[in-house]
Amino acid sequence: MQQREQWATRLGFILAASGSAIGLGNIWRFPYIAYDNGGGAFLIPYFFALLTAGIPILLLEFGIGRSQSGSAPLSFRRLSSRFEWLGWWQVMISFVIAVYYVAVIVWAVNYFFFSFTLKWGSDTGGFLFGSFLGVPDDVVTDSGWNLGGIQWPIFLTLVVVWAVAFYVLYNGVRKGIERANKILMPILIVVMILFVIRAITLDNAMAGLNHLFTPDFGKIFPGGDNPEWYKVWIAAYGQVFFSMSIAFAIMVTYSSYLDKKTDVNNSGFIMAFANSGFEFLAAIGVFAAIGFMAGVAGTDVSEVAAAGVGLAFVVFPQIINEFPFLNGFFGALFFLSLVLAGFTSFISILEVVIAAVMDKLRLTRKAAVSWIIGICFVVSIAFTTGAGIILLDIVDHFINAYGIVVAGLLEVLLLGWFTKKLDEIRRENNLVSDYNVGYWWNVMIKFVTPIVLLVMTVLSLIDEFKANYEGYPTHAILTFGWIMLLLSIIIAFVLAYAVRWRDGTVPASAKQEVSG
Amino acid sequence: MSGGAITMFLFGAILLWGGFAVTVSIALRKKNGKKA
Repeated sequence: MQQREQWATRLGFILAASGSAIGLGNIWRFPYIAYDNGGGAFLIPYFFALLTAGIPILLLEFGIGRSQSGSAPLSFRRLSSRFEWLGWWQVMISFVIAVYYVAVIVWAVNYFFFSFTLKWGSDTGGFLFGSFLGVPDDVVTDSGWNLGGIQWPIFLTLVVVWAVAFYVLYNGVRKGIERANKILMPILIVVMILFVIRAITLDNAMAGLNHLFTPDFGKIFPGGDNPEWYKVWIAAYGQVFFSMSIAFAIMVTYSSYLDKKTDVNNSGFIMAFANSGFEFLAAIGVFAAIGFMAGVAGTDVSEVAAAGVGLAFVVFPQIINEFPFLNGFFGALFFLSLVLAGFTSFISILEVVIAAVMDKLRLTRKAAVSWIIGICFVVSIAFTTGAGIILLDIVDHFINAYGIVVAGLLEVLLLGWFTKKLDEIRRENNLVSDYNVGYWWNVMIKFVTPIVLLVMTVLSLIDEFKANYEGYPTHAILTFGWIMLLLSIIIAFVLAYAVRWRDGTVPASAKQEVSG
Repeated sequence: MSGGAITMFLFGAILLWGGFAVTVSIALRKKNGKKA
């Protein structure tokens, strides 16, 4: 039986886990979610969600990975043979995310270079959707798709990003992933601090920060001016949940490379605070820049505030255009932060798939990396077409709202109610950790997180059946939403129960459970 | 910034950045995850 790779240092593990959690969403999602859900008051449900769901699930996944020393399918199988498929479903979710997530990194790489010449011109929206992405006017209609052909500059950058990811992952856990994170994460922090310093020294920056932090408590508590106040709390749980790379097997995989004597409780808290602290910092930079833009345009901050692709590739280029000096430098800082944050998350997502294939088929790392990256690369070419951004939007919505959330719900139900391993995991985590975690953790995993995740799923479903997501045609929603999800589950079952484990992978105790 | 905005900024900064600083200092005091 081949020796499982391990992190060289605890710092390397914390940096890699933080690098995974700190992604695009920290920069382009959190600031707007906070602003749109009560401003400074949002920090109360956010912090509450962090302590009652984010950190408990993180510690659960660290505990599973460290104790079972396997990828998600192997770890879940060792816990209960009935739930290997859930590990594979999380692997499939990671596979789907990897093939579209890379596209956003590719766009950010291009925009990093565009920053130096302000290539996007004055019509930043027209440039993005027109000459850069090449989205056809009739990209998706009731009669079908117009893919618009491959955008070759995007394709070429895609090749480069995949090549770098291949290099990192091919070199393994210590020499690849750990080393990359030890180099890239400090750079990301420095770049973000420089970005924030420049942003808060702009004219009218304080107006943006005032909008971000002014609390609207009526929005978050019952009896205020917001009858749907509970949705703010769900948004807080959603932000914490999506931001921390939990429920799609990353943290199980990364912690499976831990030495058995390494702390997990405090490492989990450090990682959670690093992730949240980073998005808090990013929000300051983003809203300071938005305040500046609102001042230049003579409009209110609410007119400029945006999230996601619109914020990064439409609003920020406008902001960079208006800079008093060193436009290119500021633009480069912003897009470099997106590239770095995205890339460290991207390699963690790929490692989930690679580790699972290595475990089940007993492939060498080199073979697994070559196969997985080859397949992912081919699939990701779809996102370099003119229809790429629409495909990405639909797949991203469904994989987040139903894939990650439902997989997370099943995970806490499995661990909390079916295998009854919570006490064992908590005890083992406490034995090796800087400090103990009490019984409150069991309560969060058994009761609080399942309820919150169930409510999130139901609310998403209600919205889903009111109208097609973003008004896309039904065939597009069916194909790249529901059927994509269904296929991911079917493939997960096939991989779990139609593909045999190679001898020596599953330990005797688990084999007995299987045969029993 | 308004008083409310400054208060909530401080609230977030103390909890999130402060939480990070405290947990890192605990890790540094208890080397390699072994309990003191």
